[in-house]
Amino acid sequence: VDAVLRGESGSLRVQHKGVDTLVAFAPVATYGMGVLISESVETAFAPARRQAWLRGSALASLVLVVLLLAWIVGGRLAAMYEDLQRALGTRDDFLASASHDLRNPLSAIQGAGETLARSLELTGEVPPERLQACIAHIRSASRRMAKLLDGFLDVAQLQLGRPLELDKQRADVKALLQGALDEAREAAPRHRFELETPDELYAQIDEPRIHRVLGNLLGNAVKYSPAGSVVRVKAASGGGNITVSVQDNGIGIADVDQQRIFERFQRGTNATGRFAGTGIGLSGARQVIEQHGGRISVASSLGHGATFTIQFPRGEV
Amino acid sequence: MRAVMQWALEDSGFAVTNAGDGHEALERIAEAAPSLVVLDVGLPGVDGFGVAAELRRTHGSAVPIVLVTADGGAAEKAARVSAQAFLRKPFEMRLLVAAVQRCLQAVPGT
Repeated sequence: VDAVLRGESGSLRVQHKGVDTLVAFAPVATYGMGVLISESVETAFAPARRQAWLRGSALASLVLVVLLLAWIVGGRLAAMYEDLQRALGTRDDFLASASHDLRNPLSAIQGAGETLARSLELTGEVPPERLQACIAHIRSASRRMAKLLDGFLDVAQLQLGRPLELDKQRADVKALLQGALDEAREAAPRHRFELETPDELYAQIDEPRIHRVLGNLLGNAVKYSPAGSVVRVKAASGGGNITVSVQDNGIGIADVDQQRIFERFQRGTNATGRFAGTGIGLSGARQVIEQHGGRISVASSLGHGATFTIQFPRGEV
Repeated sequence: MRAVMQWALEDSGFAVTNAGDGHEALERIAEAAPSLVVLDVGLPGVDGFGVAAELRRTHGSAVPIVLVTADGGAAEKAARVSAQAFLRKPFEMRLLVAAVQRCLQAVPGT
């Protein structure tokens, strides 16, 4: 007050009654008076502080949103990248095992052809038993290749999201089972096969495809169980359905794998790396059975074998 | 396939016995004391590696192995069992015969 009365102007920051206070003063010369304004620092800077806080929080929110977006996009990209890597990996695995699967029968056909040619070269004729064996080799190997290719084509259809074009006809399921078992016996002479089936068993099915499903289940039963063990096949009819189960005494399937193994390119944890396979057999089997309006399931515990069961409508027979 | 390979080797003057799986192979090896073993990796039961390991355990490196495989990485697999030669399916029978002849010539005393 003294200063303003002296005609001075200025500002101060003082402790006034224990409050941090800003004081500004200036003379009003023409009237011989002065003006003095005092305001606590807290009140004086409140609007500025509020504004600063608002600006700060807006900026912080923006940064947060950007970070969140980056995290989401980044995570998505990483997941997509992983998916892509996995897809490429499984495709490579599939190509490797598919070419492996084709090499064996191809090799048998080539070998049989060479045998015939060499016999003719050496002696001008082919001994009958060789001729017969070579013909059998060529026929069974080409059948195997045709089946493999059919399976690969179905996988490709599935990949494109297209349903299979089933060709359902009245079929003798008992004969089909016996045929599939005969082939399995031929391929695995050291296993024992048992079949339990009603005498009359007919259904409206795509016979070659159901045959392939049976071949796949029997092949798995043999592959994952020790030589000399029994593979038991049971068929039954009831409630308009036909049920076929294939039971083995093999390595079994862990609980966590029991759903997964029906997915394409997925195999049991205890099978991967120990047994050859593409991981398409069971997914193809499921596809065929489901498109027949049926279902496929497995009951198993690790080390105690597995029982695969397929059930499908018998249809009008 | 086994019969075809057997004929190819027999036509070239070798005496051959064959086995359908790993267990049988080990039995035949014990009985026949072969000069050489042609081994498919993808045998049922005991696989080719198992047979090779057992063969190496019982006979050391005295019996050469010709490895036959349908898989990739044939050379690496052959090295794993110290096979003297390997063939990748499909292969021509004359290559099998040539591989067998070469391996037997390389064994001292035969």
